[in-house]
Amino acid sequence: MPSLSHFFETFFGKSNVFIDAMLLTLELTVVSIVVGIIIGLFFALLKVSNIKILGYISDVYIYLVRGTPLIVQIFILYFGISSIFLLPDFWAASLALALHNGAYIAEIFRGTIQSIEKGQLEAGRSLGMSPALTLRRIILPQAFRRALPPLGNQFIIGLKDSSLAAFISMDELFNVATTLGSNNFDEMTYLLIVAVYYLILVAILTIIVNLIEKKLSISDR
Amino acid sequence: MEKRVMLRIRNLNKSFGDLHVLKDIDMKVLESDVVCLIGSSGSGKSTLLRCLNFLEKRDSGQILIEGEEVNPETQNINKVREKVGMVFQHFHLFPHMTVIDNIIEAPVHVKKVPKKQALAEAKELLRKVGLEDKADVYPSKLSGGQKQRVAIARAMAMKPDVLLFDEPTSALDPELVGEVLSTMKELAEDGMTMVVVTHEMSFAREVSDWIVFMQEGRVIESGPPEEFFTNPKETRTKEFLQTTVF
Amino acid sequence: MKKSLITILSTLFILVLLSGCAEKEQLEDGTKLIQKDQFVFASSGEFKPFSFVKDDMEVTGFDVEVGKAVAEKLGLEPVPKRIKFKGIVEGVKTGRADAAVASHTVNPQRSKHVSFTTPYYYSGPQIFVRPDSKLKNIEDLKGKEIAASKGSTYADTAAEYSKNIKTYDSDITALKALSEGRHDAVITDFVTGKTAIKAGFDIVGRQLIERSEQSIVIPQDNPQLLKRVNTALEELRQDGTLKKLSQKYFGEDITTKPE
Repeated sequence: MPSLSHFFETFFGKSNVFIDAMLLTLELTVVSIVVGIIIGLFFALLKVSNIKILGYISDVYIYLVRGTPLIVQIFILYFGISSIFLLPDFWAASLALALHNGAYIAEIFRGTIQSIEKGQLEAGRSLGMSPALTLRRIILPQAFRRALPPLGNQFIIGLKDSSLAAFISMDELFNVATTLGSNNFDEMTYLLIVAVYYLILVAILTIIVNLIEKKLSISDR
Repeated sequence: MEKRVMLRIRNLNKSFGDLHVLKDIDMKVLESDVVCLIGSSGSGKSTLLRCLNFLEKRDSGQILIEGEEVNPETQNINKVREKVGMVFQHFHLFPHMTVIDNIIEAPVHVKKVPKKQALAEAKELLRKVGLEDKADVYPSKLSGGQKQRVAIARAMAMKPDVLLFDEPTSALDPELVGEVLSTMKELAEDGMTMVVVTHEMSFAREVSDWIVFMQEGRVIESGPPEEFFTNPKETRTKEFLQTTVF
Repeated sequence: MKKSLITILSTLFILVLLSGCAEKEQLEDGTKLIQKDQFVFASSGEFKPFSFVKDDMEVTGFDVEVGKAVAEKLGLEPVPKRIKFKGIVEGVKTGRADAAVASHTVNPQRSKHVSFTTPYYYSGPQIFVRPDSKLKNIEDLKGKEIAASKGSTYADTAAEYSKNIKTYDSDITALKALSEGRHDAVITDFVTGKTAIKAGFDIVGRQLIERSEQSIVIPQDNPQLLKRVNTALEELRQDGTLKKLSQKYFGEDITTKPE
């Protein structure tokens, strides 16, 4: 274990490198979550649609993603897909993370959409609202609200999973820690420093999710 | 003056799997009449009501609204539903919207009524059901009776020609039943055409123009309330009335 | 719903289009490059002193400086790029880098997948002993106690000459033990040994057992680039740049073919 003074010296002395790395970690996380939500919602809707083949497509996607390690998916997008088209490094990592998050988010949305009472759909339909309008105005807003706690959890997992982008040499927090750590024969100090950065990011993410949750749950007050 | 026929049902049949729940139903509802569907639970009255709003698909038979046959396979069912409103036993208010937003939701997004006009109309409806002060409250803050009155206002906001009520007071605490029934009574007095599935016999007797008694998926007897309650023809009707608390 | 579906599909489509921008550009002479005015070359950044990162995450080292010198001769902007060592050959094949200057030993397996330039340095296992040792070449190794690093090809090499093998977790530890009076000899990489001697270890190098050649890796579908990099390397040999870089990092010239 490094001494406390050495830890702080490195923490502040190298802060510019770590802040750059943290920004990349944040970019990877935000892009992969936003794209993941779109993908997740898309496949959740396929799943709850009454069309069997669409549900099947969704099943296949979720099975593929949940059935393979994220690192394998990242390598496939980084190396494999490039024979068809070359994804820039950042997008290879973000898209792999997004596809990965998307599968879990799809399951979250599917669950919460199906948890909305059938009466809500019937109420909307009985007022002359089309199925799409009912979905958009009545079902999804409620499903989103219920999805927020598990989504927040998935966001945190997504943030930490972004460290796997290190394996395709993205200079995010984890990669900077291991590379600088091994070059300076001081891995523990650097790993402890990024641990602190991750904890700060998770705390910020948690606060944001809680704020949104509070805002949306206004109707329960 | 002869009243217009708002709803006409011919030979309606409906099964859930092997269970034949509606058998050759024939009935009609005249304009500004209140028709009460009564019968013990499982008699098919709620299913019949749901068929009228096409929440359940009929197996065979015809449903005519204002003289026109409605076929959900070929027609835009949303247009039909704009004419036929529905009030549910469990209200089904939209919990993520305030009371006033619940009411203007369909007029604004389906009928494309300007929001300002929709709000004004919604406030008028709320005044009618006695809940003007609850406009900006979320449904979770309302009592059951208040919820049901909002649900009635919500259905009325679409200006339907017929309003269907599916056991509107069954989920309410006894002390809250009265406020909902009196709201419904006012609607009836305003000339609203209503079809009500209910267990409230005194309401049926007092407010309705026509009673339809169902048992095991069939219409057993129908007629004006005075005659139905004082001089039923069928023995099964008599038995039912004897076991029913007024 | 249709609307949102279209939105999602078009988002994905845009992503695909964006990614299309990374296709290689072709110069007039047939050289294919990721960017027409850049030479993007890969190294691991985790192989000191050949490639390693400074504290600001900038990569440097012998490999990297050779790569930069090559780029200059090509008239291109040098763009070093770190890829984990195991992924470098795949990265060059799939167009993540134009080339790799990453201490790749030329061997038949790799040659099936990528092209190699002429060697830019030479290495190989060497026998190291304490200065007072009489041990000179592989014949003298018989029956002696030899140390090497665990699981390395050098441990296998050592086993060919003696049954008495001690293994360590790293080459440096083995050499440290040797300099402190343990064992009769250590077999390890020629450059590693040199680095240790420079760091003050009390040892000397004896016979070089095998020769390995380290070359720049070029994709097989880019013969024109291979030709141009070979020309550039030849110029760097002639004008003494390679030698100078080698002196800087190793204190001697490892870039000319040993006898």
